[in-house]
Amino acid sequence: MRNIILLIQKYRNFLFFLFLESTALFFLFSATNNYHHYHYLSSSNSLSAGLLKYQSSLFSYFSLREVNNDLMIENAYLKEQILNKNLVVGKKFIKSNDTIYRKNFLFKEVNIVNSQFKFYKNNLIINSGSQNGVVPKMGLIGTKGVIGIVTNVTNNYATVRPIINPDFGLKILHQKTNAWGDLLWVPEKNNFNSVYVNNIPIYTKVDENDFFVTSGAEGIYPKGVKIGRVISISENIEDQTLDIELKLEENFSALKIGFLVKNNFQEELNEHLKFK
Amino acid sequence: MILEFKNIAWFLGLIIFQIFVIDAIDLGTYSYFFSPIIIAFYILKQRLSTTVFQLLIIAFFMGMITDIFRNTLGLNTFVLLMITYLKPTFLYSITSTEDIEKDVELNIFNIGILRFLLFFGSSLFFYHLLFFLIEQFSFQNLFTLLLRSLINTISSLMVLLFLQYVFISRK
Repeated sequence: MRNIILLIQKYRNFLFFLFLESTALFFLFSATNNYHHYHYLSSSNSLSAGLLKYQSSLFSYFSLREVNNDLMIENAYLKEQILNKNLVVGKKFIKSNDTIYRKNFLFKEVNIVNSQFKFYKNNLIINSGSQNGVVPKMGLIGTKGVIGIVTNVTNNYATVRPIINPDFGLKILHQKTNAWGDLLWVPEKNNFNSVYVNNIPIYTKVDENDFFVTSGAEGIYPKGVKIGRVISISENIEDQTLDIELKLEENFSALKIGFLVKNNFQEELNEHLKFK
Repeated sequence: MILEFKNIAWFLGLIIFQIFVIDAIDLGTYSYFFSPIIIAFYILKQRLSTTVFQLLIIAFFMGMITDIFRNTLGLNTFVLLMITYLKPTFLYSITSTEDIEKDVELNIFNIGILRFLLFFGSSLFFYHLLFFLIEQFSFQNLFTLLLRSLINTISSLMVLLFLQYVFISRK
């Protein structure tokens, strides 16, 4: 014991120096310094992402059959949509080769290199980065429904904040009645395949197995992408709202592929959102 | 008593000069190369009889105040603490231990111009190099970074020479 005290006495200047330095470093990498905070985060991400890529390239073979199935269903659905669009002729024609006509949303398929689903703040890593034109605040949808939103981008990878993260927030629609609600994932109560919807008025007629879809209000996702189906409804008399629990369409424990959503009119939309 | 007041005046004066004069100078596109930081002078000029413990506390608060004004929380503090701890290393690499008396301030009139340039030059160069390296947080454009550090070291030395000739009375 005496030796330890002597040691501390001998090196007290150095220990004090280390203490102050670590305080400075703590401040340096705290969230107030955006650049250093995110650079630290992303440099550690690209390190781990490289390793995780090997793992995913190995394990992706085991689930090829299911992924193929999902892709086929998705393809069929998309084809149906495209064909319908060409056949339906309304009051105003839409010619897809017209120069005035621009596609609103573009989709880019990506592989999910790493996915978390059992932590408090879950994050995903995808194998596309700024070199592929990914920018923060792009949406990511899977083959069945919404996955998350891009938060941080490096050269070859990007971090995605999924629905199952308490920081994720989105205004969503009840498909049948068009009632607006707020999506909320509560880490203490929800597991990785359920989520809460708040602020739905109490008079709304919501049944089990009804779908909730995206509203497309902020331009991050197109309107009508499925999020989940209702599994339980309870009335909140105090707030005159319904507390609804959804079962998520996407299985977050087995994510393999996703589609990044690029809104061609995002900048234009942001101009309007600013004036709210 | 007068010495303490002088010290406090230097402490506040250097921070105010750094924030409101040097940081306010705008040279257009050349501003990238002109951003000298002179607050380390306060630590470097302290007497050798000042304990490392006292110096570290001063450096922490000095760096913190500067950082809050410059919006670089923790950056100046980190580098300034490093300089404080390495001050004897820099000093004794250019002079021997007996050369300098314990209770004189290390300014240009007391240690001579050559030793001033060597000691302050090397430590300020280290300061700027470390500062820009952490600010950029990568080793890209290392040559530009070295050039920036060199230019800023020279300009901060010139500012310090000016300040010392104006504010320190010679005997």
